[in-house]
Amino acid sequence: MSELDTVWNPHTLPAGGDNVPGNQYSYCIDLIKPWFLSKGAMIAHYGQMTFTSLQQGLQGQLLHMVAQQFSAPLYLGDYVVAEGHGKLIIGDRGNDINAYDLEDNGNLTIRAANLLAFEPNLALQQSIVPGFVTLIGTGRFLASSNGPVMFVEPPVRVDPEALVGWADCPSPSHHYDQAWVTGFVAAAGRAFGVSSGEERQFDFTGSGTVLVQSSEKVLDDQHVVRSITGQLPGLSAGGLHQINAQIQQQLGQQQ
Amino acid sequence: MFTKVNGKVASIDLTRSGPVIARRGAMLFYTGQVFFQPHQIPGMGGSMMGGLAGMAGRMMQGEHEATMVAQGNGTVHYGFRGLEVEVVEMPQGGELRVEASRLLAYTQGLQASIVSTAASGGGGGGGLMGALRSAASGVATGQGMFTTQLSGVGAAVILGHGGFITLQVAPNRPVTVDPQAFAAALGPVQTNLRSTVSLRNMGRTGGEAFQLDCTGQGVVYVQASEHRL
Repeated sequence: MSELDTVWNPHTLPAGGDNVPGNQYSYCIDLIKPWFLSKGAMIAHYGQMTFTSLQQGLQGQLLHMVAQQFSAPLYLGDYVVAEGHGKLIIGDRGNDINAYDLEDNGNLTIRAANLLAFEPNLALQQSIVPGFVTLIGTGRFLASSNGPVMFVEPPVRVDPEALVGWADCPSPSHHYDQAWVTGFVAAAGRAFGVSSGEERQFDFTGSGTVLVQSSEKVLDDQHVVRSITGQLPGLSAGGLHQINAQIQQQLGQQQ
Repeated sequence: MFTKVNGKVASIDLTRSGPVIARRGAMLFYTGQVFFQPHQIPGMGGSMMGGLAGMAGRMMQGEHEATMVAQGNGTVHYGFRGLEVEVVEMPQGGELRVEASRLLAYTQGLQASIVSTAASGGGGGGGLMGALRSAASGVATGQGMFTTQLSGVGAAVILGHGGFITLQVAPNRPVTVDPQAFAAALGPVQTNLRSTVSLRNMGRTGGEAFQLDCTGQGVVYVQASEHRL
């Protein structure tokens, strides 16, 4: 019998946490201690478990733990705490799921939309780069990606949409490739919105590892939207008009 | 020249292959010194009017995707919307016919041109009425009247939903495929769209109203899905 038509039960599901055999799209967590879980990622579970929102209903020990480990107010609504005992199967819209172990008090920055779950040994912090979060500590986390993840060593330049995260290397800087705007006609073309579409990249230098997914399809850009809207209240009227014009132009190009 | 990194990503070493033309927005990451610039914009080589008119023509025919050229020294990785990729090598030269929307990247040794599918035996018969008939069936199946043809020596990467099946076509072994699953044809392969609908069996054709007959000598790439790109 192939693994695809196996009927699973709590005893045959992988112990200690692993992908459900023969299926890279789902992952089975062996729940013993609490886990942080992306909202809506749970597919099924065996055993007694409770899922508590981070925004309300937390009490006592758990509230203390969350306050200690979760310092990303922007993402408070996106995660729940799962506690109890049993097997917890999670999935994310058919995207590949992989488990990574962060060792020796390491740090890893990841796109918030790709972070599915993590152990509370890891502390979560908001990254300076919008839409990204940083995990610090020693422990395991699960990330989803569109297609397999590739690991690359700097120096490398990555399409911002294809970037999943990076570990141990300094935060990236923007790189703009506009060397082709030399002649007068090319400059006119640029002004009319002719662009290569690849001229903005994230530039990684130093030593570490960069994680890239197999397509430039962003899983979800809600977090970026939220971080932008979070900064709007402090802006002047002129600045708002400028942003408005930019949005109109971009919307016009997409139609 | 292109290397498949996994099912959805292809990489190429520009130092060995020379400039590469690829779908805009498909670059995932690169190492080394690589420069990107829009392909075929007015004023970038060639006569200005020719470039403009050519681009307008292709846009009208629906056979146009914004592309860009990558050149320099380094390795570039390409992938697009999580679709499966397939590398087509043409070291001895040849011709590859593929819809523009399914073409991810190709080396500069290949010349891209727009050809009419009706000219290669659209199936409607000759004359004006034949051309009209093939246009009508082209609209009905979503298979356009025009397609992109790459000819010369080099390599290309094509896109498909759900993985590829490659089918050999020989003069005594024609193959019939679903027009929506058809991805590309390599070599002198004639495609002939055939309708199984007639007034007598209207509405009860079993759901396969259109079929694409491929004859000649070459390889046909079929995707394992009827999802149109």
